[in-house]
Amino acid sequence: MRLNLFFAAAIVSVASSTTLRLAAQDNYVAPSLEQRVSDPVYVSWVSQPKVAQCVSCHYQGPNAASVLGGLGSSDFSRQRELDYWLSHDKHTIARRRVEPYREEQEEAELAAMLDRLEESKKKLVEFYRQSGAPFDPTKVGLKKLPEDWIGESNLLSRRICDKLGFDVSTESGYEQFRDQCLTCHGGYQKDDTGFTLANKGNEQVGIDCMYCHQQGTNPQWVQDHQKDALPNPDKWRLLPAEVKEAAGMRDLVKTSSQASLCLDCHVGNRQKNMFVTHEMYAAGHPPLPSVELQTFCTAMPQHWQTSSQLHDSLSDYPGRDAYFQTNFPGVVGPGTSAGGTFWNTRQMLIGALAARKKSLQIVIDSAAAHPWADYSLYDCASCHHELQSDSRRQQRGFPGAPGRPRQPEWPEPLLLIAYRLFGGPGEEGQQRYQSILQLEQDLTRDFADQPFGNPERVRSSAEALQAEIDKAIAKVEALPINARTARGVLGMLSRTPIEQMLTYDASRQVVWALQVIAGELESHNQVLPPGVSEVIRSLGEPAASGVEAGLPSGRSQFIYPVGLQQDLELRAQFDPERLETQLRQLQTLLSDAAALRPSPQDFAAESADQATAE
Amino acid sequence: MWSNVHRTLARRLAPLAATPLAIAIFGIAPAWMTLPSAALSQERLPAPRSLVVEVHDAAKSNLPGPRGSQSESMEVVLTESKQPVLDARTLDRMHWSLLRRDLHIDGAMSCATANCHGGPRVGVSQPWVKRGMEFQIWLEDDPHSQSWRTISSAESVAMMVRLGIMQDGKIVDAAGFDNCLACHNSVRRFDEPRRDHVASIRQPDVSHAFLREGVGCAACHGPDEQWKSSHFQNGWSPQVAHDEGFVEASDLFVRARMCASCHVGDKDRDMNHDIIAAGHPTLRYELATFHSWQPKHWRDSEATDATFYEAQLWLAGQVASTDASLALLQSRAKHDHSVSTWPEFAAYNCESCHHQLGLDNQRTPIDSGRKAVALYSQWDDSGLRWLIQFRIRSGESTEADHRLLESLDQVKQAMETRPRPDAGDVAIQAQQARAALADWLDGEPGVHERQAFRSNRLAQLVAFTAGRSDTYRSWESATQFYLAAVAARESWPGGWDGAAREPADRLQQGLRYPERIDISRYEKRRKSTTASRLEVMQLGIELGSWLGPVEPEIIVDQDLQITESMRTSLRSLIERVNQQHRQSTPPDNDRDAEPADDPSQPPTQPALPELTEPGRDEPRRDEPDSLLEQLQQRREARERENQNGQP
Repeated sequence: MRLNLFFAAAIVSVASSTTLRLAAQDNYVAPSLEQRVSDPVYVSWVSQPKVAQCVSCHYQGPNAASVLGGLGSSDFSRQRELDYWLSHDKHTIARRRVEPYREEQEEAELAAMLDRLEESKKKLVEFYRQSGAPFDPTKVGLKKLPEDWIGESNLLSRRICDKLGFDVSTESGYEQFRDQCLTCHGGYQKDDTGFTLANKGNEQVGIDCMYCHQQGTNPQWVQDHQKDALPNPDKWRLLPAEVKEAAGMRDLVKTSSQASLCLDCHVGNRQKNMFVTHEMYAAGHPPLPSVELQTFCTAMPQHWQTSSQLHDSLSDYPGRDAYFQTNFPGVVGPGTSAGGTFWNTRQMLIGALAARKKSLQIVIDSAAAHPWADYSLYDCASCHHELQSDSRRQQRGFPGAPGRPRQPEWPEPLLLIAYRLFGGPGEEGQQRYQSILQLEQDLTRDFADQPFGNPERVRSSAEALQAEIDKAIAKVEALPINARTARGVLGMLSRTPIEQMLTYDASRQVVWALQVIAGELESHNQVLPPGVSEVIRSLGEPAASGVEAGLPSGRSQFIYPVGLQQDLELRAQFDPERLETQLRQLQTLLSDAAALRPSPQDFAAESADQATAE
Repeated sequence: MWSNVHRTLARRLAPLAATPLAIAIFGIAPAWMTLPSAALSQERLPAPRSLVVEVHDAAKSNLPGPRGSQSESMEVVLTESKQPVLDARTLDRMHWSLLRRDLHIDGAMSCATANCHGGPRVGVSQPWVKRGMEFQIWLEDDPHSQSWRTISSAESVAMMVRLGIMQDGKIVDAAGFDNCLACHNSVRRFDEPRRDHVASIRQPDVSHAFLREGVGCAACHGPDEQWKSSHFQNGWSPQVAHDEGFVEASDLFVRARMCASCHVGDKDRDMNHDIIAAGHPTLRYELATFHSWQPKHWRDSEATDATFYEAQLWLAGQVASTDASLALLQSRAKHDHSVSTWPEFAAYNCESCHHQLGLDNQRTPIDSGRKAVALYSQWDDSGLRWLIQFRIRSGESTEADHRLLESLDQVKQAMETRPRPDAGDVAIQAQQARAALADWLDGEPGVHERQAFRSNRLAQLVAFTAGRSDTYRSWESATQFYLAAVAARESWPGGWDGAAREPADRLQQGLRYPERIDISRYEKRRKSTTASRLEVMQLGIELGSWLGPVEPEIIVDQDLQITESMRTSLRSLIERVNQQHRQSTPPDNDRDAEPADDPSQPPTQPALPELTEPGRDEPRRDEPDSLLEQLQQRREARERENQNGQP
């Protein structure tokens, strides 16, 4: 079986030399055949049944044969998703990166891995010799063990396991590691096979396609979307999401649904055992960073087309409008177009709401079914900060008694803007906005009421807020988000008060959001006032603002130890006043431009009225 | 002063019943060792009261305050703190008068007549007078007399506003304010009517009704209602004095416990984490140090016995701070006080949470024996623990020593079990530890140390402690170590300015004591003037070596050692595998050599640096400049790539 799959991948690889570049955004150069065959991650993955079926269509990009043969347009899919994933995306080696280093077994496992590489090399050399494809066997092989296969992060993982009491040299200890860690770091779900100590060497080195794309256990969609794609593309593509979901395909087109999936790990989900406890942090787990969905997607790098990219790709496709109207009701419709929609800004706003929903669920689950007051429920910086007289925290004041650990502060700046959108125009909108704020304040008060908060009160307040956020997500997801909305959000972000940016994470959230919007305004050829782009870019430069907007993304960038050390240093040295100074500069630049000066109320009104404005 | 009192008492009692034997008995059994009858009968204790407090309109809408203990009505029902109950098995008996609520206070002015304590200053107009000017010394030199000014300062008002005690210039949380008054004023209650009936609690402006004088005579010597007119009369026996609410402050151990009521806290006053977060400095009580700073309006007979005096003050302070911290912890766990919350973060070591995160963190990593929760504060019981361990080490220990050490450990353990420790369990453990401490002090160890503990013995203890790695576990214990060494200065070789002075001064600077008492931890930033743990350890051993034989424990950072050994093993493994599988002609397939214009290829990071240099046990730190340079380079690399568009 494995061998056949492997050859399937190899056959696809042969065609790579004739790769065409069709989509404008895909100026991506794939690794050479020799590089791939030399990459243990690649070899490991293409031997996996779980992705084998995806390889044939989503690996190599549209090739001459398929295009010339008229076998359907490639515009819907890059047909290279898996290559992005395997070659560049960190998720692909999520498990490999955290396999706990075990001195005794490691050497034998590495030798076995190298043997597998060698074996595949031999077979491929023979295969390519027979097929006559250009292939240089002298270029195949490893100069040295790749750092992303084994390195410092494996060491860290082992030390964390030691301190948590997981004896990972035994099957039972490894199961503890699996249950607590591989839920996020390997996509492990209860009863999954392929996550044992015995098979850790080769199988499932990271998150696979199905983990995200499959919903439930019904595999029907795998056949359906292939079968239908070739003879009659529209049949599958224009189906409503519910039908695709019924066939077992997760609806990742819907932003809130995609956000929920990503945020399971990037915020946490206690029901799925995806939760970093304070004990894990204290044992050495790096702080879970705050998350801005759009920024994180871009950094993966994103293997799918954004909606605006898709809109461009489908310019010749007659079903384009039908597709967008089916999938984005309200956003795209009479008077509003997918081309004029600010998809990135939209994803950022929905991501903020979805992250809040996810964090509330953690609080609710924690109050119900876990010992209350795990320190990781609270903002790291609410305790982990240097002591200072007359500090910014003291000047800001307290929501209740001083000195009570707070919920994470980073969501606040974006969330308040998303709540404004939810509120909408007019007095009624103002009331809706105020009432969701009130629910937030109730929860804040319940956290401050006693040290760590009263779990029962926290739970009921969180549930009330969560119900309202569900409404907010539904509403914002159906709102048209256009250039005027984006400019409004930009203006509001530039006015973020320093009180909302006291933690590094909260500040970085503002910076990320500004960069997303500014980037999208520029890509829509919107003229920004002079100097605005420069200031927004410098906001993410540590030398200028103290905030690093870049993320250690991709397979070749490592979080531990250098990236983490730099990140922690920046946090330790962070001074919100530096960022504030720059933000006020931005505010001045923006307020000079009349178009970017709507009040929050105007902004909410505008965003709702824009269907007619368009 | 104790012997002065003895002399006075002897003189006064002589006409009545004094015999040398009776005086000797008083000497052995001072008044605080017997229980005051009033406390036990509880007859004189007032019933809890409800009070109507005038609240300004502006405050009405937001009355509940952070503690949610008040109603929103115009009439505020004061939730009075429970009347403290004397626990006969503990050292409560020493300072019980201070906890009583049934006695009035008349204020310092009533002591200040020229004939009594407001006489001329010594050496000025009447050079022969030895005493009689206590009031002036207090008023002019003693910071305690400035306490009302402190509590009225802009900083204090800001704190009270943050705490919800004050709003629009009015007190809206009377119980919270009483908690401030408990230590900052002689009259400890906001609603305490003046004795002269100038104002009453029913009068609208009740906040102006009580007497304000800072920490006056009665705050330390006990409420003066009954003894004011009797304490200079014949027949005023220690037993009567005690019954009348007088604190026998001439006894160093009573004095230490009396001071600790405010400088640590007690069952009826709680300077908690809320108040610290609002801006109050943390409390760092160490009697020998504070005592030497205090302008003294009294004379201690022990002061002439130099090697005895400071050592005994140090010992008394350690006993008192342990007892007071346990009494406070118990009241917190039992929610005895209106400001009590649980868990109470102020019972923990500040630095166990309050630190920046970093790879070079100098705190003890978690191991299998401990959950990742805050550490119980080491400040108040370090010294006593060292003494017991020293006694064990020198073969002097008794069962009482072991019992006390064990019960202190149990308190610590109960506090470090989980984020929200079981309050009931902590209360029981704290009470048992208090009882064990009283047994220790009353029993053989206490009797022995109260006679034998001199600066040479303290110096031995310091030397013993200097070799133990536990001493340097936190800034708190390291600073207590330094203060213990200083309290032994009468036995420093060559005196105060002898050879031990230099390492002691460096240690003080390294720990930045006292100016850093509210930013308490080791160095984090490279250019900081605060010492690292390792430096403190070296200085501690150097200082200890001047005072006695130091046997340094082999101090091993096990966590670091294991990690380093694994890192070495990993590196050699990788090296070995690379050697074995190295091909004769290295393949030319370097992924790093992919086309530079590939936008989806994330920038490569600098090669992994050696994190540890030989001979250092701390991870290498980059200078901030080079860090910024690195980040700038990464940024430029990313920008170059960005210019080529996004994938």
